[in-house]
Amino acid sequence: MQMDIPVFNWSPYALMVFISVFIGFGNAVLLMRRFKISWQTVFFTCFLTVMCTMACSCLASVSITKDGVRLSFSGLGAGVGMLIGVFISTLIFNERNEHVMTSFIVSAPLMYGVAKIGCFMGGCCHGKEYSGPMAVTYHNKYEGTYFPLQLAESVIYLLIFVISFLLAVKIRDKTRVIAIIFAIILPVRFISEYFRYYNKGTIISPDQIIVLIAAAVAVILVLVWRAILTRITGKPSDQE
Amino acid sequence: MFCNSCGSPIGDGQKFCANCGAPVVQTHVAQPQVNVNNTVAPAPVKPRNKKKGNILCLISMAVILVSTAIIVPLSVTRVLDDYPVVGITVAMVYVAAIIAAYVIMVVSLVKYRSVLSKIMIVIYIVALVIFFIAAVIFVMGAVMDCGNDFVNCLHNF
Repeated sequence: MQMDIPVFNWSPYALMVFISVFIGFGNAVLLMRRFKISWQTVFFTCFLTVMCTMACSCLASVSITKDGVRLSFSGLGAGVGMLIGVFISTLIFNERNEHVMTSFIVSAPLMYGVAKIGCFMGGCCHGKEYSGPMAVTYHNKYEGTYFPLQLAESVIYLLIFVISFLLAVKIRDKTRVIAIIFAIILPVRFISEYFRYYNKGTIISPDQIIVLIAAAVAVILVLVWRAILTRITGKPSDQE
Repeated sequence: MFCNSCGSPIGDGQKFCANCGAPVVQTHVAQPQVNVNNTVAPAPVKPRNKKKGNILCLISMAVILVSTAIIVPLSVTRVLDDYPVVGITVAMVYVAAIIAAYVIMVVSLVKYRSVLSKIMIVIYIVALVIFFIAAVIFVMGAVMDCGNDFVNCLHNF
């Protein structure tokens, strides 16, 4: 079975990016309320995190080209921005900090999975040329038949989200949940780059180096955040 | 300790009630004073420093006004168009300043709860919502202009 994607007169990509933000933050709110975090903390954490996510998503993608400055959205930038937003918010409110952080980190694969559906419909980030089962054909500027990498990524990230959600609800030690989610997402993101159209078959591509840098920034942010909170509250964790 | 608002039990170190979300007033555990008539006087409750809250509000507003007063003329006159690196740096500093101003305002509201901070946070939230709606319209508009090449127009996921 092969898939044929029609040409759209509107942007499924932009639509899915905005939908992913709403769904992701909605899920974070649900989780935080499930963890019995007060409405005030929930509201202002979302408020600050939305700002940081939007700002970092745009700023991380700024590039200077011959035609001028190019601005777009970066998923990796959004992820780091989300962590910064939660970081600042927990320092202000200091209420069940690891539960708040877990709620947002669990939502990250959900947002990514939904946004990737937009990529699949738009044709960007497509896979290598391929004509086997489930191959996807585009008729826009990406004309060609490719491996349905965006669809595969979307399914995998949504699966990771389901697993992460269950772990967040079942496991009391939220630090372990955060570590497990990072340990699943980062290799998936790294390996998927091997199937991308621009991968030349090298062991490590420039985009994979960017993924590694973003991963290092994310891990360092979480470690610094924990160290600061431990210093402020005098305890390593806010478990019950 | 119990919540002053709804009466639910509150654990040590919690800053907000898990039930109703009301902030927990941290009272110093002072011994109730017994006067000569043997009646018990309530322990003193430390009042919030509203003046400090107002100062934080003013700092927040000053950050927004000053940074906007600098960026708007630069943007309108396009003097930095020939220096894209400087332009991007200025834009990044501006965004960081706006986020810092919002953080200061939230701190002012949460820690001090002054009237000014309550009014200003509503204005800040409305401004952010308007900005977000404008951004959505702008992005959608930019994408529509690009026709089928929308991904090339606005994408780097």
